[in-house]
Amino acid sequence: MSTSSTPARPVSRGREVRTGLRDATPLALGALPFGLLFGAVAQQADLSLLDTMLLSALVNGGSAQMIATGLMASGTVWFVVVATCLVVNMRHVFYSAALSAKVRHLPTLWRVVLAYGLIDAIYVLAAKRYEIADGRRGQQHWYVLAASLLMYVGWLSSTLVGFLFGKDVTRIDGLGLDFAIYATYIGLVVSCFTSKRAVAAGLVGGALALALHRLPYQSGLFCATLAATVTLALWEGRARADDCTPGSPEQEPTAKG
Amino acid sequence: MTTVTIVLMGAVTFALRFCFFGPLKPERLPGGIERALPYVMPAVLMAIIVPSVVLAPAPDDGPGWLSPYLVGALAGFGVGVFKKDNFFLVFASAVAAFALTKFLL
Repeated sequence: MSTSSTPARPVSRGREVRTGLRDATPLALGALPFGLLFGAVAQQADLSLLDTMLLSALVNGGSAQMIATGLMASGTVWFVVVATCLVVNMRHVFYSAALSAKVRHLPTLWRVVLAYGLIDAIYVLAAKRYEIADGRRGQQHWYVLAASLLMYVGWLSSTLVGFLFGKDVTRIDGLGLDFAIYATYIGLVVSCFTSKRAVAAGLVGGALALALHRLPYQSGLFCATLAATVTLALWEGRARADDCTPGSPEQEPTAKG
Repeated sequence: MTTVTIVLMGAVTFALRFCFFGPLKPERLPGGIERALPYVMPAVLMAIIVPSVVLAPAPDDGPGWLSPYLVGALAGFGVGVFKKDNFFLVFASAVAAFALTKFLL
């Protein structure tokens, strides 16, 4: 439906790339310490350089990589590692669904490349960029590609440096570098607490995981997440049903951000 | 085996990111799954944080409840109550409280 402004096309493509690189720079810099930390943790967990770089190259997601490394180091059976990775990265289904309509017109290779780079930070940037465009079909995929590539290069190089200097990082151990991981998750999780039910999901998940922490192969994490998620989905289903009846108590907004 | 596990993890992650970029249409998502998705992130993160922080080894000297992990986490959540969208402030508060507890006590 949109008539592409033919003379402006190459200019607009270059501008999308430049804007993408500019917007992603602070995020890429902010991710560098986590890449360093991941590389060092992987080296300490006796992962090979190849496996460490493969994790960053193929999974391309800090929290899943960090958890998987810990699980593999403690001898967790492979299918629990893969299943935990699935659970930890489940949120990406949401990003995929949310951007689906924006990329449907692109060729397969473009959609594959964009999906590959669709990490949390890129989802946020992409969603904002398409919102500005207000439904007009332009060159925004170049913006997303440029931002993704910058994040990817930063992630791979900081992983490599972290791995190579992993021993130095351990020498100053006692700084409690492992706490940085939990601080990262706390920073991420509080931003998810957008409704009463989201907080409840966190509290149920946390309490259950604590109660089930003795289960083998860290499977308590998986069971606790599943139980908490299902419980809250049922709660929301009931709350929606109540919503339809007149005189129901006021409902808080749903957790969709 | 480790390498195979990692390749499988990569495949699973890509499948999650690509599923609605081609194979599936969001309109066809069953209502139940769609309702559950927003709660996955808080549930899984808290399921990781709570046991790790609560069961962290207590310091040799000083009271057992004054674990740097616990103090750091509580500081992060405390700041998060007021500034939930400021990732770096929450992160920095937690790390700062952790470091203070660890090195001053």
